[in-house]
Formats: sequence, C-alpha cells, structure tokens
Amino acid sequence: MLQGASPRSPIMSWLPVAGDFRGDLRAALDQAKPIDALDGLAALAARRLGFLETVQLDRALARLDLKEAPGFQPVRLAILASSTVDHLPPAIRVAGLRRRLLIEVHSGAYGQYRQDLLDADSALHRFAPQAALFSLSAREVIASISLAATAAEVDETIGRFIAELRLLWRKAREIGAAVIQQTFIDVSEPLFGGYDRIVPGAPSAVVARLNGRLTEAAAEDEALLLDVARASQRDGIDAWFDVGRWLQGKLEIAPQAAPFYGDLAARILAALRGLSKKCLVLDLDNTLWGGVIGDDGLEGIVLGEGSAAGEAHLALQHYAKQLKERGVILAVCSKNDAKIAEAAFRDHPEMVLRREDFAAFQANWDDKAQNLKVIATRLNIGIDSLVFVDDNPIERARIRQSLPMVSVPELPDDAAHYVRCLADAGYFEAVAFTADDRSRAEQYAANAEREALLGSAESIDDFLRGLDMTAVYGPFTAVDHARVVQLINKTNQFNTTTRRYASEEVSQIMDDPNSLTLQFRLLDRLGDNGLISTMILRPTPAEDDVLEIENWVMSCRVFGRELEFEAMNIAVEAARERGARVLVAEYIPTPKNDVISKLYPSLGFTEVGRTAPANGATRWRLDLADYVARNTHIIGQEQQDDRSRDTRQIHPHSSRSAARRLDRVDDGNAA
Amino acid sequence: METRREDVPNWDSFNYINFIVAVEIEFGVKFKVADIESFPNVGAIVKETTKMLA
Repeated sequence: MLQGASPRSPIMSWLPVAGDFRGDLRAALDQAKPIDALDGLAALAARRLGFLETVQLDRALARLDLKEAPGFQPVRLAILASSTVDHLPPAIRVAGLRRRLLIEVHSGAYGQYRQDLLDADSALHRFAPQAALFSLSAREVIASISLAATAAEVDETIGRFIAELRLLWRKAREIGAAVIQQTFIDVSEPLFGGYDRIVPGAPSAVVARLNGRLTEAAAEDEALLLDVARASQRDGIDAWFDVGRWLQGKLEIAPQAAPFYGDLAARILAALRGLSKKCLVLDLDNTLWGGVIGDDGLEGIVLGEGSAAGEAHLALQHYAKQLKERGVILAVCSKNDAKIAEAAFRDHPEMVLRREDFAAFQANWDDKAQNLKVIATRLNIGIDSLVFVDDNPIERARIRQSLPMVSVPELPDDAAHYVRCLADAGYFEAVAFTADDRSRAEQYAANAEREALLGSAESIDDFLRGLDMTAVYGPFTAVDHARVVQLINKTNQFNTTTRRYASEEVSQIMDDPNSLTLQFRLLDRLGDNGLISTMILRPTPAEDDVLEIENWVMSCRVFGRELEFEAMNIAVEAARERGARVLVAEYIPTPKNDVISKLYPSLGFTEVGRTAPANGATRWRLDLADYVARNTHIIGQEQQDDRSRDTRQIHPHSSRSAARRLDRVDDGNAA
Repeated sequence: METRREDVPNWDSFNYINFIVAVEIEFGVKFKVADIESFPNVGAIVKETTKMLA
C-alpha cells in the first residue's frame, strides 16, 4: 500500500449507510429500559459501520445493564489465536447483535491456545464455549519448510500440522464447542513470480496446500470454515492485511477488515442456531428484469443475451435458481397485475426462472409489507427468515421501517452488481448440505399437488385417506445423523422444548442404552417427505419406569396430516417395550411454537403443574395403561437397517454423517 | 497536544493502535511504522497528519 494512502476496507455493501450514527447511538442509550436500548443498538448494528463505529457500538453494548434479553439468544464463543485478535471481539459482538445473538467472547493470550485447550483447569475450560474459533497464521508452517523442500516433504510437514490441529479440534469438541476454523490468509510476497506455484516450498504454494489439506480435514471432522482466504481474494489482500499493523502489534487481520470478519463469524454462529435465512423474496420490475412489464409489455422488458443490462438481470435469475437448488425457497413480491406477471414467466423466451420455481407469488397492488406477511404465513416460516430484494430504495426503506426483522439488502444502482451484493450479505450461510436440501424443490412440487388434492377432496378425511400415508420409524441411525441434528436445531414451530443439541450430544444419546430415540419419515403416494420428525426420550433419575420426552420436533411441511397422533402411538408402544409405565413431557412456550400449545392435552396427557412459571413451561404426564391408541390414516412401518437406504451424501470423506448440518428449511413449505 | 501515552490511565498498546487507526481513517492518511513507534505525544501526530494533508 502506498504511504499516505488511506487503508482500503472490505465494504459491507448490503447494509444501508449509517446516517447520523452518533445521534442514533445516543438516542438508543437514552432509552429508560435496557431492553429498549438493546433494540436500538441492534437496529444500529444493521447499518453499514466502519471499524470505529463498530468499537463505539460495542462499548455502548457493554454499558447496558441487561438482566435478561427476550428475543436475543446468548452464545459463548472462544477465540484461539496465534496472532493478536483483540480487535475482533467487538466486531463479532456487533455482527451478532445484527442477528439478535448476544455473543460473549473469550480470547486467551495469543499463542496459548494449545495449553488452554489441553489444561482442564484453564479459564477456557471454565468459560465452557459453545463454539471455538481457531484463528491461526500460516507463518509457523511456512517457517518450518525450506524453500528447497520437495512436494513430499511439504506434504509431510503440513500433514503433521493438520494432524495436531485435528487433535485440538477434538479437544474443543470434548468441552462442548462446535469447531470453526479460519482458513489461512496468504500474506506472502512473490518470490519467483509466476513460478511460485510450481515450487512446493514457496510460501504462497505452502499456504495453498495448507488450505487444501485443511478443507479435507474440515470435511472429515465436520469443522466449519471461516473463509478469510477467499474474502481477501475478493477484496484484495490490502483490505485484509496491513503489514504496518502486523509489525506494530502482530495483527494478522487488519483493523479495518474487522467488521467484515465479525460478520463472517456471526453468520456461521447464526447458521448453527438455525437463524440463516430461508426464503428469497424477489421484486420483478427492474429487479428480475429491466423495465416495467405492465407498461413496456413482454417485448419491451430488458432481459437476456444481447444487452448488457439484460444479461445483468439474467445473472440475478441464474443466481436465484442456484440458491433454489441448494434449498432456498423463492417467492415473488411485486406491485403488478398477477396475470401479466405470470405470463412473463410463461412466455418470455429468455426467462430462466419459471412460475413453478416460486413457492409463493404475490403480484398485486397491495402494500408490500402486507404481502411479505402473507408469504411467510403461506410458507409457514417466520417472517424473520425472509430476504427481500427490491431495486426501489423507497420500498426498501418502507419494509425496513415496518418489518425490521426482514433482511433487505441495499441493492446498488447498477444491476450488474445485484448478485455480488446479495452474495456478499451471506444471508443463506450453510453449515451442511443434506439430501433433503437437494430434494426440497421436488418436495415443493409434490406439495402443490397435495394442495390441489385437498381442494378437490370432499372432506379432510377423504383427503388424508387418498394420500396413502406410511410413517417409517425407528431409532436414530448413523446415516441419518446429520439430518436429525439439522431438523432438531432448525425446527422452531413444532418443537416442544426448543432444546438444541450439538452433533456429538446426539451421538451420545444414540449410544446411551437407557435413552430411546425415534425418527420418522413420511411417505405418501406423491412422494417421500423425507425425515420430518424426531423424538428423544430419556430416563428420569427418580423413577426407572418413567420416560421423559426431552424433545420432540416435526417439520411444518407435514402439519395437519395426523402424524403427531401416529407418532405418539408408536412412541407409547416403544416405551411399553422398554417396560415404562409413564411418559412425562414438558412444553416450553416460545414466540414461535404456539401451534403446539395444546399438543399434549390433545394426546391424552394431563397437566401436572408448572415447573418454571417464568418461562411459562408446563409439565405433562401420561399413564401408559390409560393410553388409547388413536386411529389415523397413516400406516406405521418399522425402518430397515441403515444400509438399505441411499442417503446421497455429499462429502465423500466423512464416515459418519457426511452431509453436515445446513441451512435448510424444515419450517418451510406448508403442508 | 503535550499528552503522552503515560498520561492516560489504562492506556495500552491496543488503545494506541485503535487511536492510530482512528486518525488514519478520519483523515485518510497512512503513517510510517517508524513514526508510529516514535510519536512522543499527540502534538507530533497532529503535526505529521497536517504535513501529509498539505
């Protein structure tokens, strides 16, 4: 970087500019109630902030005297670093606030991470992190490899380093932390020039190899990657690394990159909590195509090959289509005549997206905020899981104002940069890619048919009978492990306790002979709905013939199909086989699970008192002797062993649960 | 202008880096590492900034 030039920063282009930051910060802090102040700070965190504003916001956050923060989730994150990272926690906390996460960060002395992990009495162990972020420099590996080293020697040294790293990952797992590994940033200077890539021991070649091996290890061990290597390629190394700061204080991530780094970290933490966005809602005119279809007509809109602007809009369509293929739901929200808008998708020869790609299609003259609410309701997902893309700044401002929980990227003026803006925002950050994600599009199509069937059926009974449903059930299996973890952690509506389980925890429960696990798939004549419900029953310490339903979740895509009744029939039978006499259960209400507030009484449980009135939880009991199995339109069928099913896993390295937890939509898709 | 690092309670190297970053961002300048190490007081930083902006 030239002396005298100001440092380049990675720009969070999708966030709207801050406006009067200081005034708004003061206004937030002037709120009488800490929770209102917190809301104000969260709103500020959703603006485009530089390094200094981020530090100021973080200091304001620290000043709040928060006893509890309803609507915000606490997370404990440890940073294990081999360089100075003191400047990163404020940015991580602010980016967390952007997602309504209250992140508590523990960072040990730099270079001490090995000792901290291995020493059971360390402050790190006492902190009990839920996630551990390894922020390591490639320098020590580069230093241990001579320039003359052969490819085999380089591989061996890197192999040893990665093996040690995996040991540390395992240690982090043992204390209950999900592992997040920062990729290695290449700050080396060319030595041979273009020939650097050919020399195995050249610093840049070592970093490239290191990242390659790291990726393989991460796939095998289910570590998640915080990809600063890629970010620094996109923004340029000067935006991410400032040699002056390195010399001055051993900072490997430049301070001006900290806000972006914080966002990368927070989006992974949010994804682990099931808080990634689920649905991309698109405007039409001047967003998916150039021009106004109602005025310009089918021939007049700008879309497709032959025009630079037309190709720019087409690129957004392609990107949306790819998002759909990885499991993101698409919807339309546009001020338009529905017939004209639908005809455009049917009749325009260059159109990449088709009408059937959209799970919801709101083209009318109503207020867009109202339409977004309709979309969320129809898809049976939270309104906070929507991303709304619109070229019109007035519409964007209006939605941010009336529905602050909806993410609205600040699209640039030039359509050529729409995709980049949407992609940079990382709304759909994933922590796995399961077979279920890949088949979601087909499941949508099947659901549309089911809806048609429901429309033509004489009665609900007729409809359910006509579906020929089979519930395939059994204990959690190794091949379904990733999907089970994903379903439990992403389901918000039909979730009795909203307890979240780490991948390892689920493995432990599976191995515990005293616990009973059940997973359910639902098949009908229109297809396989996938693995859509899980139940975890644990023994109670006091009485050995009492089993407690510690957690029960069901995907909303099979609501209204009587599966909860059939599942309970099956659970009661399985409990009886265990010699249990009684089932107990707890319902912990949340803003999202009201749909099952009457679940247990409807299954014949009786209330036995409130355990913790503060959270409104109720306890329920069922004497198995009194249970009368309910007739349903579902046939129960015990599952075959693991090997009989193709799980279409995507990570060839992973033995256990190749397909990892991922951003997906259990709460998606109305049944 | 005469204020030195020692004069500010709880001042540490991290605060100093933050301060330098703040000045660099605010005025769009970039200091030499040698200068950053040897600025004796706030006045010296102001003087160097003014020089670079001239």
